[in-house]
Amino acid sequence: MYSEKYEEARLRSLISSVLEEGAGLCSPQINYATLLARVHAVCLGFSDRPLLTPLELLAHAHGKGYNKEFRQSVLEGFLTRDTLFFRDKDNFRSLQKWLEKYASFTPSNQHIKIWAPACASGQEALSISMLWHKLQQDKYNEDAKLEIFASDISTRSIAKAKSGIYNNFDAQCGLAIGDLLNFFDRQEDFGLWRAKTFLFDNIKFFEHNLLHSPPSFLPRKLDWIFVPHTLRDFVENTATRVITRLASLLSPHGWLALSPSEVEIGFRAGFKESEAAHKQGLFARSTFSYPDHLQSNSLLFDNTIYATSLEA
Amino acid sequence: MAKNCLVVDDSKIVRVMARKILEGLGFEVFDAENGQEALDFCLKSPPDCVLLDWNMPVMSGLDFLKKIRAEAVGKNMKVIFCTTKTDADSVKQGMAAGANEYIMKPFDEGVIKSKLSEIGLI
Repeated sequence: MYSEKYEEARLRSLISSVLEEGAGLCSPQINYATLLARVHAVCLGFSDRPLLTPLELLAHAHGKGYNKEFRQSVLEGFLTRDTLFFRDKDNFRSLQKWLEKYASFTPSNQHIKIWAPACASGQEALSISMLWHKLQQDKYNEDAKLEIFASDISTRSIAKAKSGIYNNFDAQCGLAIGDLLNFFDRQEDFGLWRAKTFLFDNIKFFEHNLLHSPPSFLPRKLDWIFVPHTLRDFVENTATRVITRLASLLSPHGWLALSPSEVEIGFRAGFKESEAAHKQGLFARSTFSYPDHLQSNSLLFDNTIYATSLEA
Repeated sequence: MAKNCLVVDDSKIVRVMARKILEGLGFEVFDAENGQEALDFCLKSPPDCVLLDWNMPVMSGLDFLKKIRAEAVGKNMKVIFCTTKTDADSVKQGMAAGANEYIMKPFDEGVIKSKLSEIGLI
């Protein structure tokens, strides 16, 4: 006979192993009631009959030999999806300043490339697209082109991201009312909003596990990687491995946007913090150089000058 | 010193819910049941922020907003509409009358927090 504490320990152990093996993630820091609620949700979606107790889940998991569908279902159920539009506004302000300057000097045949590798349900990618469209409305450089790559390990999240449909709560989190009205259409179903189709024109959504090699279509010289609030969920060694891989995908003048709570992880991987964005979680490559076509404007990317421009 | 917020809504449930959320965010919270009560309060001691329903008896939120914006004490007060009027025309009308932000009910802590951040109060 299992005791409740034993049951909890077994359940946590099972969930942890699936999360770590499948995605390199740490055990979720949640209480037992929340753990059970999520397990139950997993079971309802996964099983042909509702499983009522953790013991039944264990039995079911063992019975299925921890198969691929079960693992994916647990991953989906326990992934963090708490996000909002323009989360970490400081990083978006920095991106805006950078885009205003960088795009002014970008030849029309060279696209600006940004990757959001843990985009959850798409808010981050859409925020970047909104920012870009607002800048384009100011016509500061009509020839400039932006490509946004947005991926997530969760099938469900990517499907939601592609749909661009958000409920009334999600749509209002992080969006000023003006942006909501300009970039979203109200759906007939009460309380739902759909992102306008033009926002998706420069976004490519795809499923991707950060433990695996990136797909071949992803450019190898990215200008920005936006991955806040993600690396802190990985076990330590895995976080270092992932950030090192991300670093290899950045162009020499590229920027990596983490969150203020992940500054240490950036240092650990050899990045240097942006002077203009102290403790913001915004990093440049340690080895800093200028893109060839911008040599004549190299001062633009001098960190000191950049810091001044950001603070102005 | 804690910032303060006046919650103006004829629904007690909304007032209680908003109070709990705002107190959790460190605000001192006052409430009023209609626009006239809110106007009287604001003229005596203008709060940092008003969370304002639209449809209320005695005086609507829109009328309150127009009146308070015409007063010297109300020029810089932050006002967030929080209403079930969610059509684009109403939003434009509310913003044109001087609202700083707009919440479409239903709302939760995340929405309130986001809007307060948007207008620089947190």
